[in-house]
Amino acid sequence: MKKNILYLIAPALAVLLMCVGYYFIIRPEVIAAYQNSSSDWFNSLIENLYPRFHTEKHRFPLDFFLSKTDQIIIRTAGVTTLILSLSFFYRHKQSFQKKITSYFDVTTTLVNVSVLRVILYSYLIYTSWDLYLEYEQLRNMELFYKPILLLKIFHFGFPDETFFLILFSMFIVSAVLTIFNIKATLSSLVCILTFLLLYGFHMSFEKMDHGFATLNYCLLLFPFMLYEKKKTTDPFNIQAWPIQLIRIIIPLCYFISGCEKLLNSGSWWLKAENFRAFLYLHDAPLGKTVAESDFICTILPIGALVFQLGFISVLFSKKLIPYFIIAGIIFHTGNWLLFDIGSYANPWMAVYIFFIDWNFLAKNFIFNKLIQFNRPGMPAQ
Amino acid sequence: MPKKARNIIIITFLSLLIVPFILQTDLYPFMRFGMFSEPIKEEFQTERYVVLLDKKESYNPLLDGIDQNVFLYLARNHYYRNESELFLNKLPLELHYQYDSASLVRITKPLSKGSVEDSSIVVSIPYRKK
Repeated sequence: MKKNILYLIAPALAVLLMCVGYYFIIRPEVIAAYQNSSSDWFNSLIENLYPRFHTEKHRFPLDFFLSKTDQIIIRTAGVTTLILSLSFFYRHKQSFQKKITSYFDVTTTLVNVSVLRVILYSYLIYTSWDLYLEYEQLRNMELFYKPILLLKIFHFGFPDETFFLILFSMFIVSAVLTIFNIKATLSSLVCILTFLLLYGFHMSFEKMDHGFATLNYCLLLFPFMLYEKKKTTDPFNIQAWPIQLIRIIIPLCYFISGCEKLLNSGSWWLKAENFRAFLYLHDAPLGKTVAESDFICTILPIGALVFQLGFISVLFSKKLIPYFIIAGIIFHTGNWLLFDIGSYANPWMAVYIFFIDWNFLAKNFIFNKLIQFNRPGMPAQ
Repeated sequence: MPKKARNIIIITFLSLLIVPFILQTDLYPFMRFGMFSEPIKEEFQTERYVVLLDKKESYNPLLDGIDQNVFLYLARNHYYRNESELFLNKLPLELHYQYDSASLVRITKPLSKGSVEDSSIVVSIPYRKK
């Protein structure tokens, strides 16, 4: 019992201490940074964690930054409470513990992993083949190079062409090897590391592209899936926890996007005026036409928020998956047409492949005559 | 994989998703998801930036392979940091153009319907040899 109380009190005390520290140390530093008089340690923190502050402080009032830093505390408190509640239930409710464990203890088949592997890495090559071709334009912009945190940590300056070519060759070769299942675990690891470096160089010009946000998680987790496949001799019983984790992360990404809108703008985000302003800002031809309609500007933001907050429901009901995949395709295509964000080959849509039961499709539609699937005790997936 | 290692990986990845949410910043390759979440009010205005050569010909960043969106982003960031002159000096203008002077022009337009564009020269620099 004592242990349980300590288990709850310790994080609560930590959050309380953080609030006090925030109020007496961080908040005054934010005000000082806005007035160009903050301490060196805080300046370096801003430089590494929030580099866009130097631009934004000329655009937004001090209140904007104070509310942002206040939110760090609010969010930390919220997330800590959520984690504490979940871990409390996990420890004390056997049914909850069982549900979590059984969720990750699911197995999958060789067909499922193989199809995912081929599609995922083929898509990656398709969408990133021009990473090297763009080197010339990066070189023209060399003077604007501001390395992102990851590249700063490893002391990467602007790459010379030979290094970039070697990196790109490693990326392509490792992706192809992964597709053909040659040393797939190692190849997929090299592939994601080289991809992140190459893409990191492209992101080091003050503009961060969020298009690969969900795909990055999938690419970082898939090597674990290939490792599980390698370790198993039974092609019908491969531990599928990396796929299950990806299936949690993708809905969470949407859920967090929805939460951000509510936390940053409240109900204002749902207003037609706000949506119309976004359409005008992005200046896409179809967006400007849609902006003329009050009705469309009222229903689209509501639909978008319902979709983003609701995606997480696929974790509780598999039946909802096809509906949310269709809604997701409409959502991202809408972003492309109305705001000129992304493209038809959006990585956010590509990761939906993880929600598709390829084994079922293969069994019923594609390889029915080629492969014998109907093995007794075969898992459902 | 042993369950303990598996659980550590699961918790690590979930944490890597949550930290950018709490800090509201990108920790590449783990991104924040606050894009387009800030409220936009009527008084907002669109901004465009153009580099005029000899006050007539417009510099085309695509000729140097610079993406139009990246160009606008860099121009805007430098403008707000009062570094527009530095911005012009960093551009590879002389690769495809001959000119006497280059100027950065800021073009704004309020979001309200029927509003007109307003433009102003931010800074000008003379031709330079590389």
